[in-house]
This record gives sequence, structure tokens and C-alpha cells, in this order.
Amino acid sequence: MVEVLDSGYHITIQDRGRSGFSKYGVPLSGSMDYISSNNANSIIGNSIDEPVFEIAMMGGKFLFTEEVDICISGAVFEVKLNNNSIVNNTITRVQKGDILNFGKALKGFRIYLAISGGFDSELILKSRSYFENITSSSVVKKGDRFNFLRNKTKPSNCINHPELIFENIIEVSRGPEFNLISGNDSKLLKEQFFTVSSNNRMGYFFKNGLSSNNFSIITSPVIPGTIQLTPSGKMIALMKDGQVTGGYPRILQMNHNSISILSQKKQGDNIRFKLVNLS
Amino acid sequence: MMRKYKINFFHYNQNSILVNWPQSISIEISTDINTFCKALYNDENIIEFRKGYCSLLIQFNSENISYNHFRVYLINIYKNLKEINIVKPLVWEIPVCYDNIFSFDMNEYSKKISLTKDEIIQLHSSKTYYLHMYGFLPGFMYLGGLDSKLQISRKTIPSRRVLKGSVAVGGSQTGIYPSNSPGGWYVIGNTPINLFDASNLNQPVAIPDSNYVKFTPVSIEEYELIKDEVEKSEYKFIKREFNG
Repeated sequence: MVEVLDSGYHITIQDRGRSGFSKYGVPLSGSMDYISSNNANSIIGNSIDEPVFEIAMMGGKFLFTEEVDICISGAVFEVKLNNNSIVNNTITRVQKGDILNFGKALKGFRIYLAISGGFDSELILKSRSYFENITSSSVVKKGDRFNFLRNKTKPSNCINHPELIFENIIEVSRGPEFNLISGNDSKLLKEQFFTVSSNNRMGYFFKNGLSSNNFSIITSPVIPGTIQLTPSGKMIALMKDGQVTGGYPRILQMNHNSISILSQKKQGDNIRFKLVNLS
Repeated sequence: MMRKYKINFFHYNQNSILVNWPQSISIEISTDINTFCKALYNDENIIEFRKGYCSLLIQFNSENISYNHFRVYLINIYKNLKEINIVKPLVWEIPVCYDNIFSFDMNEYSKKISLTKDEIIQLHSSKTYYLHMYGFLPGFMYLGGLDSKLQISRKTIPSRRVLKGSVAVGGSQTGIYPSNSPGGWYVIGNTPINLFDASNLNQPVAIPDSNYVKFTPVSIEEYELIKDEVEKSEYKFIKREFNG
């Protein structure tokens, strides 16, 4: 078992999300950065379906009450097991009584902690991913205790280069309403840097944008990775906890890797879009 | 037989295709989308559907089938769709208390649309609304059929917290907030009924889509009684067949 001694800035349990329930208005959820949660699970010999901790920005202190293998992957944090630093993408054996302490993110924004077999928490609508009003808690809290699932599922071999997530080029394809934007705006999209103004698990918001407009569409489906254009000209990139429908024009669509890359960006970071065709 | 609508396709991402119907809101288009979905139900290539008023996003298994093959496959299924006898829709009554303690935005709304509170309640509760789809929040119903006299543009600054059960109006739509949430619609009442139950794996929503909803005004006393029944899981919806 692991006990939460400090709940940091924002910690949740995430797996691959609630596929199949969007028809009831339920967001997909799941790890924001699949590349890293898949790396953490795969390195430790888990299936990529196993639930992990998603730790954002800073903090998180955990006491282990039994021996288990762990792996961290994603953003680079100051991480100490008792008094010794541990690094990303390696297997570390944790002993009973050990304390794992996460400091600040030094590079990137979200780090994943996988344990051999996965963390146990309530399974709701076929997923353990935290989401307000679906799971009884929306964040991991101080004093929470989690058993280990010790699942003997088939290990995945989904390992990507761990530096991939620190790119600042976001590959996007044209969204269904791309053609609404002017030639000048489409040039801006390709050439300009966009600065993250804020982010959460529902979406990324940018400081600068395109021309203001009065476009609107009849409420239509959206998915994680859809980039909407608001009337002010600012863009919202919908992430894993994003709504299932939306009324703003969908101008761009990120691919799976781009969602992971953007998930590692924080306030003030700059990104550029690279328009690609879907093959 | 030729289908009534011309639909088109858009390659949305690696494993999703967007199907667009003519861009307008109607029960006929929603019914056509539902008929199409039913024909695709349990299809091994399909992971999930997301429904809009006049569009459908289908996530497919791109490891088994390419986008182009999948598109052709969908075109053929649509062309050969048979009108199925969809189960007769029901009208579900939703008790709403329009009392001042719940209708936070009633005064402002009443001024803006130049109708009295009684006229608003009468109009709002006399119509039957068609449940096009769910979206926005878990268990949030997109309801069509709001009287044009009740339409109002959304608030310029959304409220930070709209209470669970709030019955509200925004644009040409009316709806119920299934949980506490920020929101930009005018709140005119509250229902004690639960619309979403995450612990119910097979049917987490109370009302299936393509059914109808009608609001029934209740007093505070009746509201409290119903709320009590809901909490004890003893509440039974009042529903009847839809007769046009």
C-alpha cells in the first residue's frame, strides 16, 4: 500500500480513460501525456492499461508500506527516494517504509508514477481515471491510501523516446472549420509562436491568437486534441477532460503525440503549429 | 431507395471520421442520425460515437481498416439503411420548482424578454422538448423546441457556479445542469431529480435520447417531497407515450 503524505499541486489517478461513454456526455479522461504514462508502465512490465499517478507542476510525498517496483516518466522533477535522487525511465525497487518525495518540475509539467501492477482505486464506468462527479474524489488527497492491484496483465512494449515530449512543435491537421479562417490568419498559424496562458486537464489556453470573429457552429462533437477558435480570436486546445461537444469552430486537430507534447507545457511556454495532412 | 439527406465525410484525426448532415437542427435529422447509429451498433470496426445535432463523429479501429475503406463502408451502409420501427418515444415529466429561491436569474430574464414570470413559467412548461443528445457535462441533455418568445442570448459573463438541478435557458435551448458547474444560461428553476448516475454502468442517464421531456411546475413543498423520494431511491418518473 502507499499512503499520501502530501498531495502536491495536482495529483490524480489516470488510466486509458472512459471510452464508450461520450454518448452520455462523459469526457474520455485518461493520462494527458500517453507517451510518458505508457513509458512508465511499459518499462516496469505493466500493461499500458494500468492506473498511474499523474503529478502536475510540483509536490507529492508518498509512504510505501510494502516492497514494490516503481518507475517515473515524463517531466523532469526533483525526485527523492528517502535521501537519494532517482531518475526517470528506470526501475527502482522501493522498500517498506520508504518515502518518495516529488519536488518541483524542472523541465516539462506532468510526471507519471507507475508501480508494478498498478494503483487500485474505484472503477467507475470502466475506468479509474479521476473526474469530478464521476469518481468520488477529483484529486488525490493527503491521507489517501492506495492498494496495489498486482495485476498479472500482459506487459506492453510501448516505449517512445523520452525526449520527444519536450519538443515545441505541435503537429496538427486541418479541423472541419479550418476554411473559415482568413489567409492571413492561416499564415499566422503556421509561422507564429503561441504562448500558453493557462492550462488544466480540460484545456490549454493561449495568450495570443487570431483575428476576432463572429463564427459559430451548431453544437457538434469534439474530441481531445480539437483546437477551437473563440470569438475573441483566442484558441482553446481541448485536452483529456474536455467536453464531448462544442459550439466553437474546430480549426485544428492535434494528433496523439501532439497532445502528449502540449501536456508537458506550462504557463509562458511557447509552441508552434506544424500543419500536416492525415494520410 | 435514395436517402432524404446528402451526407458528407471529414477525416477528423488518425482514427475518427466526422459525418455531417445538412447543418440545421431538426427532429428528422436527429432521427436519421439515430437510424444510422443503430445500423452500426456493435460494429467491430467502431470504437465509439459522439453525436451532435446534425453530425456524428465515429472513432474507428484504424489498425483493422483504413480511412478510405471505412468511408466507403459507411456510405454503403447509409445508402442501404432501412427505416426501422424505432420504439415509440416517451414523454418524461420533470418536476421543476420555479420559486424565487431557485430562479436566480428570473428577474433579469423577465425584463430582457419582456414577459412576466407567470408567462415564462406557462410557456416553458407547456412545451414538450426533444432530447437530441447528451453533451457538455455528464448527463446534460440538449433539448430542442424552446418557444421563440423564450429565446435569449447567453450571458456575456458566465456564472462561476450554477447549482445542480438548475433549469436554465440560453440561446434557443433549455436544459438542466446535472451537477454544479460554471454556466452561461439564465437559471429559472430547479429540479430535485437526478439525471446522471455514474454507478449505473448500463444506463447512467435517467432519460434515453430521442425521447421527449416536459417540465411540470411544482411548489416548494412538492419539491421537498420529491427530493426526499429521490434520496431514498423511491422516486418513479411520470412518463407517457408521445402522441405528437
